[in-house]
Amino acid sequence: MAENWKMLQQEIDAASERAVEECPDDMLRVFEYDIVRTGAGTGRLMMGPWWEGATSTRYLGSYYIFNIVKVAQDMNISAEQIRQLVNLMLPTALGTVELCDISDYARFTRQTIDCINEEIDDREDMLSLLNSLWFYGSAANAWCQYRMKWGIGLSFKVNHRDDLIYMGSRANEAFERWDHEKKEEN
Amino acid sequence: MRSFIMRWPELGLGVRCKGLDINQAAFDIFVENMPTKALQGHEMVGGWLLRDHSILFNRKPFDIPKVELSTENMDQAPVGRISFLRPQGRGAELLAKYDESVDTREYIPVAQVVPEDLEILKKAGREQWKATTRTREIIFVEFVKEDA
Amino acid sequence: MDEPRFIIRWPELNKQVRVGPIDRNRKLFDWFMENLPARCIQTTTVVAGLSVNMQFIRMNKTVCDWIQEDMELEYIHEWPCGRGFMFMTAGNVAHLCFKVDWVTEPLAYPTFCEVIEEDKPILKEVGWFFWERLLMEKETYHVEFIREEDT
Repeated sequence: MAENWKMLQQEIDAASERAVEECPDDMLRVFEYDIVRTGAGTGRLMMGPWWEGATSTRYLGSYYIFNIVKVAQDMNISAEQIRQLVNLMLPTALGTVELCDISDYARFTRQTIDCINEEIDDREDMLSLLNSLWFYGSAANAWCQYRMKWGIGLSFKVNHRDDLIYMGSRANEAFERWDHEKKEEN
Repeated sequence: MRSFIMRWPELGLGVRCKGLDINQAAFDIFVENMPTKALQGHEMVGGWLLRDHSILFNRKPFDIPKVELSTENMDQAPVGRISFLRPQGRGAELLAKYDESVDTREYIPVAQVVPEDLEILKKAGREQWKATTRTREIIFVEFVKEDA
Repeated sequence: MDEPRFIIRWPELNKQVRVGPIDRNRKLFDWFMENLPARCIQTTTVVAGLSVNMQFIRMNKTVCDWIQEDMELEYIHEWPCGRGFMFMTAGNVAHLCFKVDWVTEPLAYPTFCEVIEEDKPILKEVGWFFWERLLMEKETYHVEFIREEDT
């Protein structure tokens, strides 16, 4: 039987090499061109897939796959325990990545889970594949962070102490001509 | 009859929800924890769903193993479906489907809004969407036993 | 004998800085050097203040054998600009950051290297350049790491 996981790993590694040079297509599609083929985005607001897509991408790679690879540095963690961690930690975030149409990363992760459940029993093989996915996940995270339209945020400045003191000192002016508070009769 | 009320005091709206043939133990734990209250949110990705991120199980923790719970795909669920996401210990997320959803993931259905109240549920959903995207008003949701 | 150093190079800008070890976490410096050359894309942090952020550096030769929490840690808001640290590093992937300007985050990280004094103005210049690019233009910029002795 052909070892599917090795073919998958080659595919992930090749995609990772490309990601070092240019933005993966799924990231470009969602975060630059605002195309979501799953229908996700309640009320056609792109903010939903941006927000949930970016956070689930980060959770999947930087918080979940990362921590599995990290904890497995302890040789007492067995292949079966790694498998349990994979099944416990990855599916929920993966579901949101899929829904937000970050399709390549989602497929790599889905197939990695399948290989770990159905094909790989050797601890080092398991970690080798997860390590490849961890690199791709890091690249995906970097690209969606970079492609996020941060320029929108130029309209929303974080208020610092001096801003707040100034605003507080002038707060009454907001009510001089118009009382914004709800009236009892309303 | 196994039922409870889901209501939004700020909107002056409420709907009656009945238990299902499945996940009855989950329904019972939920009711046992009533009255309970949460900030009413809205799903921003998967479609027209009211979403409560923090349903508190303050009296009886949720202790039903995942394998004993039936699931259904949200896109296939009927309008009016009340479902849990990740119920465990002291809390869960709750979703109330009030119109179409594209979310193909599995959730845990626990109740159904009665047919005569579906239009009220839709109105509550539309009002909450307006609050989320426009007015920024804070809306809470309460769950109470029907005899309360 | 002079301490070994590595160079961070931004090929599209034709800029570079030299980086040497500091008095802590030499193990990390040696591990990083051992795995050079390397290359990834350049981004910046967006929450904690301004750092240049290299989030997926492939450490091809040797797998990570240290745990962040076991290293000597420093609070980022207290250390000088130009100092580098690794974060969320495991397996064959390193995540490296260099503090460029103000940072408000009161968290501790394993620092291990620092841009040499005379090159710090270059780091500051490119850091703010990348911040501007992150906002709107979004051209792709790469960052390369090479041992000084290999140049």
